[in-house]
Amino acid sequence: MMSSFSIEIFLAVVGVLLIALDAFATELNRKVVPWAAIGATGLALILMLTRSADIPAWITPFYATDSLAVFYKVFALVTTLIVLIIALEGDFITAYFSSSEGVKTRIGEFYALPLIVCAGMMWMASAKDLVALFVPLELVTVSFYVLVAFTRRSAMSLEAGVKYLILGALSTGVLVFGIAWVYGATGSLSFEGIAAAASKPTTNAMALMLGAALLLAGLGFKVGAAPFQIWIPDVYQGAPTPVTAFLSVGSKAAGFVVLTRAVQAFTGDGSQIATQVGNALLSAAALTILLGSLPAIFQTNVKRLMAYSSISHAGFMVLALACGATGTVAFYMGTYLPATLLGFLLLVVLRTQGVGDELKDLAGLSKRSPLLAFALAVAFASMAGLPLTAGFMGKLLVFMAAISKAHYGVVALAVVGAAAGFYYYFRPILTAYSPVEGESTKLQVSPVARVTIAVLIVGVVAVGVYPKLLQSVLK
Amino acid sequence: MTSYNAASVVLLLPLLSAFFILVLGRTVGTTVSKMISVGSAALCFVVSVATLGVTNDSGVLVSFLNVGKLHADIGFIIDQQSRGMLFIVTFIGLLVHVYSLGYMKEDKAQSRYFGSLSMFMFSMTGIVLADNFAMMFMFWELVGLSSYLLIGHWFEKPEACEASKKAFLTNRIGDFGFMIGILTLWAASNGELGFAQLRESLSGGSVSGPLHSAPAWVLTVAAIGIFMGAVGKSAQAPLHVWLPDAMEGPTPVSALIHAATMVAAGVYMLVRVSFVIAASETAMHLIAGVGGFTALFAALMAVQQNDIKRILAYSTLSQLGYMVMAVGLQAGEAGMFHLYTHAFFKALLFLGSGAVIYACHHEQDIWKMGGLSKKTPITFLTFVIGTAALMGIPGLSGFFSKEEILGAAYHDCGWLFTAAAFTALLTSFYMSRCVIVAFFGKARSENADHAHEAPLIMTAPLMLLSIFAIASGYGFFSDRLQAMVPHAEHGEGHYLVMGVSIAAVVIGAGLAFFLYNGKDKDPLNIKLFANRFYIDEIYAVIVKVFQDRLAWIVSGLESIFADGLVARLPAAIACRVGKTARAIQSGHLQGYTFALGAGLILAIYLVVQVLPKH
Repeated sequence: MMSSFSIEIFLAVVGVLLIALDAFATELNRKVVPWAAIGATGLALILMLTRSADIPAWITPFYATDSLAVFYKVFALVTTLIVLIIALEGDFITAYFSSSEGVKTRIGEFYALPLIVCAGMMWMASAKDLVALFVPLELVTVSFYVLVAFTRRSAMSLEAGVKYLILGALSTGVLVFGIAWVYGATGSLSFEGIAAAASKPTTNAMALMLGAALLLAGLGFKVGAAPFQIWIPDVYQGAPTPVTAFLSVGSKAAGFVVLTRAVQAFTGDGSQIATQVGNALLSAAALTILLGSLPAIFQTNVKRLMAYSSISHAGFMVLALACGATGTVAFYMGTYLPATLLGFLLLVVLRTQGVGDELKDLAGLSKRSPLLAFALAVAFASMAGLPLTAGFMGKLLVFMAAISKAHYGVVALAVVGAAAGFYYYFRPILTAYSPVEGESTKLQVSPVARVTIAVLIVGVVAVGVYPKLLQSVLK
Repeated sequence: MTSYNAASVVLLLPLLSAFFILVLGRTVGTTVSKMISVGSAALCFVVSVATLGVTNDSGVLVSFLNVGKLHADIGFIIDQQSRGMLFIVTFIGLLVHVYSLGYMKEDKAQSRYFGSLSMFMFSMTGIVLADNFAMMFMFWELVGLSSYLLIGHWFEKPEACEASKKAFLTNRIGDFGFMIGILTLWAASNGELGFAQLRESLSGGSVSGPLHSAPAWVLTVAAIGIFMGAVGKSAQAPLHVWLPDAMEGPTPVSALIHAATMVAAGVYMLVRVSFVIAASETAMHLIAGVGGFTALFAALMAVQQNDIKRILAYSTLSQLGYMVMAVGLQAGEAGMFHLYTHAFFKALLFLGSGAVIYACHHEQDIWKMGGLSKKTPITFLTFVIGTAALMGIPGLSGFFSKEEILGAAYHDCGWLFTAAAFTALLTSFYMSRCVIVAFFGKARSENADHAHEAPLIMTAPLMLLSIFAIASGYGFFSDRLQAMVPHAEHGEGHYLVMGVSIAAVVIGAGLAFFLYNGKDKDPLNIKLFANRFYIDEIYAVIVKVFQDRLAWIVSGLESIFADGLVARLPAAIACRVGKTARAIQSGHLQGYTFALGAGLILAIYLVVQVLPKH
């Protein structure tokens, strides 16, 4: 029995050891590091599910172990595990694009870094304090700078890396600036203290509001909420696909957990700035859904389409957050995970078979591999929110939360976004299932990928049919 | 065996069988599918025989839907009515399954056929066991679906396709009324759907229920609505048009679904909820009138049909009319008694006609048959027994049940009695015509000349059913099979009714003999009857004049409002906005950085200045 804190230390240590192993061991099979990383994550997941509740006393002021924290910790582990599998599927592509011409390099960091990212995301889930929020957030972000630009022989990956670095640094600056203003206004760094100060009439509301605005903007950048979503399409498209999957699920979830905690602190009982923060979130939600959904209508590249899709999903989660429904945010995240990871896994599997990520490349997929076509249909149907898939329940809960708070205007815009989603999510499905002329070769799917695909499909359908499955985990 | 177990088994087995054949039918092959389907039918039969001995009971199997005031359970009632009906359904169902093994031997899609049969058995037992309207309605639709699938079994024949569509659509009209009826009752009783609860609510009982105090017109609307469901399913005028066309399906299906069981479901359901109908005088008159009219009307059409299955189909319409009339005359037990005897002899006649068709290489026109009595003796003999029972020859099952209905009509309404008696005469006439033309004289076509007897797997069910056709009217049988038999004392006029009934048989048969014996073509030529009173043509005109115009208008409105204003306009706006928003994604880092800064200023401005404080 290990405490969750020890598990995080364990992951970080294993990550560092694997990097060292990769760098210094002379004779090493290329598959050792990936499998070691997968094994360590799997072990951490098992340890997490059987963890002990005790954590060191000195850390309790910074470290929460409530149900929200536990949910996002498990979430981070599951995501990392699947992302590592996706990375392993696309291993030779990453290797090809990250080494110099004609030189065989090992790419162990590509598998070791996610472990460190995972530890960071798990710490973020427990953050009770702005410093405890900021440090792991930077750990995650800096690791991602490396991962996004990892395939350095690909110009797109490099460009994405540079864009992410510069815009990310900018947003970090904004975030730190916001933290400083909040500390100045409330005299406290812990969320509890901030919430208490926000409800005191002696606190300078204007200073607090400015701090809150900067802080929310910085976190909004991380989750991809408008008007700070602008980096997402380019970076998501350019990054190696496993990293894109990691960014869009793991990084987003970690961003949402700290956003949830910050918003809870700003909108606690009697807070002077609760209404302003709520309204700002509502406006951001409406804008995010529209700016995610409508440009997606014209996308012909599936990877870029999924980038826009992730913006639109972030909009729905911000909407739930604006309605104070933190459980719904977590639930939505839980429905978002299997569908999105399934989508990116498919892209990687297709890429290894020489199928590109343009929409037209999917034509005739149902003939070439019925399994992949079906998985694609399930993933996109869930993202669109088709009934009996997980995505439907997620959207349903968000709409219910918004309607219960009588935000009808935003609901109307969200309906427009969801309706547009049905258009652009079903185009890949339609393409995959439309008949094509001529002969086509069958696609090979590795056993590991098969099992992962099957598990994710079952996840999507199971939550869609019996949502209590996920709801009970949240309690 | 407890009633709970029995009910679960007869519901679940056919469902599992249908599901298995649907999913794995192609993998495991035809033989296994057939064995599973027939096996499940046989087991259901055994269980329903065992059920004959259990005491009355009711309960809930699955709580299906619980939303607000709407409670829909899958439950069951085991009482005399459902036990008797369950026996009929599973017994004839089993015989038809066995018979189909022979009749469908050459068919290419036997898995699908037997899967649909199992599906039908599941749906039909659901209707029989239903203890509430929600369940009744669900299974009501399911039998409609299985009937649709089976009528259209040979979907490559355009007539079969058309017929299945027609059956489905015509039933929609009836079911729409049924739904109105159910919803009216549900609303008026403050959210009750169970039969027992509704009866309680209506009777007032210890506490005066909401239905008890409902205004009379509400109950009339409910009763007529429910009756509309029966009009559709039991093919009463004016929705009778689908049943004759349904004969395009395989003959065993006609015997099971379109003669013995499903079409009788309307009568069964009306008797089940007779307490609702009894609450409305108007509805009762309407029901008796429609029933009597259908009986006579269908019999007239039967007189001039030449297709052996269509003759039987019109005869079924006419007999169903009798049963519905009995329900309207508040003689539900007489109706159920006739349902019970009719199920056996009509199934016998249909299976017999199947054997004839099989013998004559799929020839269905009686004028192209002839002389079959010598070539197919077993079929001939059993067909004659069925005919005699249907005509109501004294001593056979049909005689007893028909007389009960005639008696009920005699006591209640002179007009209906006259119509019913004349119908009996016509029944005797057209059935004698059918037998004389098809089985006697000389063979009038090559197919009839080369006719051969059907195999034992087909004739065995015929012989078994013959026994029931002869004897099921006697107490020895009907008591054991828990049939509902009217036990009222026969009042005055009993002998008159009996006399009229016997006279009708004799006159009808005599006329037929006089007219048709030794004839090669029909001496009668009544266009109006042969063309079924031009009802189908009239409907076609109505559809053309009204529905097509309406559709034209609606389509015009749709293209302006739904398509234009609701769909295309917002789509165009969305595309416009999307294009604009896409332009922001220029790919230039400087532009992005600028946008980020601008967004930040906007955010601060919004939070600090513009948004209202409270």
